[in-house]
Order: sequence, then structure tokens, then C-alpha cells
Amino acid sequence: MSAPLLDIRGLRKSFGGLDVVRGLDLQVGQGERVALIGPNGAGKTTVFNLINGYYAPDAGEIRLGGVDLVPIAPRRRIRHGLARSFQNIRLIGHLTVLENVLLGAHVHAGGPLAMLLPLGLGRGRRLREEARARLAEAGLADHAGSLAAGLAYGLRKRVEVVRALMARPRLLLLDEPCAGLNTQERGALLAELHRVAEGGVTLLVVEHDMHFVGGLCGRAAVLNFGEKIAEGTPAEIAREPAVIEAYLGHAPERYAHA
Amino acid sequence: MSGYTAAILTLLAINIIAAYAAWLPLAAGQVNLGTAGFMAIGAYSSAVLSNEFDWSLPMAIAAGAVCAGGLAMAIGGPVLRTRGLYLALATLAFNEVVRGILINLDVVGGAAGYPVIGHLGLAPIAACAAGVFLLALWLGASRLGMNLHAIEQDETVTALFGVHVPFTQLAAFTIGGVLAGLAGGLYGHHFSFIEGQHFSVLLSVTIVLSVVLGGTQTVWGPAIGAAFFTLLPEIFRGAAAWRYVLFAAAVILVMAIRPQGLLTRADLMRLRRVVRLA
Repeated sequence: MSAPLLDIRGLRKSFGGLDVVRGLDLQVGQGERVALIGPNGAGKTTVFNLINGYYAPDAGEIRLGGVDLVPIAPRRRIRHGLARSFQNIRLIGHLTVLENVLLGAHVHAGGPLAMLLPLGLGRGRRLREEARARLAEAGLADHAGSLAAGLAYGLRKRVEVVRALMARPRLLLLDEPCAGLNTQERGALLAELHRVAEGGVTLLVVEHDMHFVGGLCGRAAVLNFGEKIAEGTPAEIAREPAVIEAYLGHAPERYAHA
Repeated sequence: MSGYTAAILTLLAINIIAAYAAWLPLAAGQVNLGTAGFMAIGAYSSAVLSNEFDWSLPMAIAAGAVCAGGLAMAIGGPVLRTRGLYLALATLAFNEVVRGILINLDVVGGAAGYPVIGHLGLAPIAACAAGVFLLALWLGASRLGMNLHAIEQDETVTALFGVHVPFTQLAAFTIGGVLAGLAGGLYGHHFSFIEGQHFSVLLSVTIVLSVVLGGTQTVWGPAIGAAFFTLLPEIFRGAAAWRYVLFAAAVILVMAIRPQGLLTRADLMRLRRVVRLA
């Protein structure tokens, strides 16, 4: 196997004596779709925040395409091909959907002088066309001119994915992309993420919905109390006793004796 | 046009420019209570250049605006590191320092004030206000404007998309400084007299209040707010001594009913739809 796109080794993070991530190793190959699952408080979002640079790790390496991200400022990491969506949607409410999506393309907009140009001029013109095209692909074209705050929850969730894609990432981190979506919306999101993955984007997904994980990801890593307790296909994971214990608190045998 | 109308319109034009000076940082969520300080820098430096060095008025006023902008850029680095209330306090302190220095600076008259020889009428000042409005329209439609709005709502996410937040804020603060300097230069050359006392924190607060009341989400907000703050006291003039009571009550009422300002982005989009249908 060639070098993985994302290579996390010995990652540690504690908050005031509480070890949230305890020596995590995780590799994600180019083009793979990997799920990071685990009970609430297992440290999944913290791992995302470490990859992202929102937190600095206490120890460990995070390599993306061979480059160690740890010493790189959060703001610069997107230039190395890293983008994400958020568990609690974080769109800019009083900007339009199109503008929110254009924010995602900031790194392709040019230097400080380009910042002074109206959005539709110069390089911005092509970016705006790209944004419209991506929104259309995601079936969101009708909402391009609406304010993000006025949109239904499920739509906002999907706009976040389009916004992250505008950065043209190599690795896309999705934090609970289908939390709060109804069955129909989950289906639409799943189809969209399959399309994204076929376009060559590697996906790392935190998600509780195992049905969704099974439909999207070829591999899942299970985190509990900051440690990886299992890794394999979603079907293998579901049979793993350590995983069942992590989620239910008891090994199934105990029920048999009860 | 009566002298009274011309005087009110001139004041309105100057207040509109000052409002846009405060709007740019405010759009990014930064309360700059030093706007009057930058106005003072623009007013005094342009007055000295036109009085003592015989610069033409446009050149002197432009140079005054550049001086204010340069100072904004210089102090912006350390000042903008502070957040929220502390930023408001730091800019307020800056305002007081500028005012204190000018009151004690005898070369420009000290506390007695400084007469300005050159005079500008309504027409050039109104033209400047129109120019500033066009600039604001341009910047509002630019990526800088969009990034400022994004920073206001979610600094962390905006930074994660690669936006250099401190640089963007410094740019807004500096352009705001230039505009405040311009407003100050025009003020001095219209009223023919400036004194440190005029450029108090109260003036800064009033300017920020007018922008907040007009609304920071759209380019129109500051102009609407400046019009409200300039014209309403005049409309209430018939109430004589009670007019500022009425005015203050009107301000409180508007803020209670429209906490996001008189005109929000959503209002503007609704208006556009109505216009299109009509």
C-alpha cells in the first residue's frame, strides 16, 4: 500500500487532566471512505478539531499527503487540501447560500488585492460559476439566492458540504453529516457523498447512524475514551464484542446469565 | 435652497461619511469608539496643511484622511488584538488621548480651538459623501465585505476557510480611519473652526449608535442611521426643549423593535422582490 493520505500517529490530547485522545493511530488511504464512530464523549470531534488545528495536540503527528500539519496554522491547513463540515451547522446566517459557498473558495480567490474586487469580477467570476454549478449538482440551485438563516435544517446541512467542497479538498471531514436529517434527506446526502467520493475526494466521517455508515464507508474505526478499540468493515465492527460493550456497557453474555 | 436646509444637508453628508467609517469595523463585529479621534486627526492635519502650508483644500483634506488612515493602521495591530468590550475600551482610550493632546497643543490653539481659513460649501461635501457611498457599495459587494460579515458571525469557521482574520480586520479598521479623517477634514473646512472638545467619545458613540440603528448587514444601513440621527432632532425642533427627549425615546423604540437595525439583509431582499413584482 502506498503512503496513506491521512496518517495520524500517537495523537494525544488532554484537557486539564482529562485524557480525551490517548495515543490514536489512524490511516486513511487516498480515495477511501472511512467512518470514525464511538459513543458520545469518545473524542471523535476532538480528533477532527486536532486535524483541523482548532486544538494543538499534546503529542503525535498528523500528516496529510506526507506533510505534518501540526506546526501549520489552522488558517493555512485548508491550502493543504483539508476542509470540513460541522456537527452544529455553522453557516453565516445573514449571507446568501451562494455567498456562504463562495466563502469556501476563499483560498482560490487570489491575494489581498483580489479581496477588494466585487464577487463577480476577475477570478471571482469563475468561482461564482463553479459555486452555482456545485449547488446545481447538489440540487440546491433554487436556494442560491436565499439567506442561509432562512433555510430548512436539512438544506443547511447540505449547503455546508457544498461549501467545504468549494475549497477543492483532498480530504473532507464530515462531523455527523446526517444528524437531524429525515430518511429522505439522508438518502439525498448519501447519494451526494458517493458522487463526491467518486470525484476523488477522500472522506473521513464521524457518524452515529450505522445504516448510513454502512452505505457510505468501506472501513470504520471505533473510538472509546480516546482510544481506538476496533477497526474493520462496518459489518465486522458491528459484531466486535468490545464495540458492543462500549455502546451498551455490558458484554452480551451477561444478559444470558441474568 | 435656504441656508438652514443647506446647513442640515452638509451636516448629513459629513455624518454619512463618519457612519461609513464606523461601519466597516462594525460589519466585522468590532465596536470602534475612536472614530471621533480619527476625525480629529483628519480635521487638524488638513487644517494645518491648508492654513500654514497653503495646500489646496482637496490636497490638504486628502492628506488629512491619509494621516488618519496611517495612524489607524499603526495602532490597529495592538488595538485589534483586544476583543469585544476591551476593544471598545481601547479605542475609547485612544479617542481620549487624541482629544487630550489636541486640547494641550498650543500650536493649534490648544483648548481655545483652531480657526480654519479655507472654506468648503455643500456641493463638494455632498459629492464626497456620494463618493464614499459608492465606495461602500463596491466594498460591500467585494470579498472583503463578505469576509467581514462572516467574521462577525463566526470568526473560527471563517479562519478555517483560510481567511486571515487579523489582516482583514486591520484592513477594515484602516479604511475606516481614512473615511473618518475625510469626514473630519470636511467638517473643519466647512465650519471654519475646530476644537479638540468637539471630537469627544460622545461623538464616537453617537456615530456607532447611528450605524447600529441603521443596521450593519447592508450597505444602506449607515446612511439610513446617519439620516435618522441628523434629521430626527430637526423634525422634533418644534418641541423645543423636549426634542432630545423625544429623539432619545425614538432611538430606544427603534432598537427595541428592530434589534438588527432599521434595514436588515432580509428586508432588503424582500424589498427587491416587491420591486421586481411591481
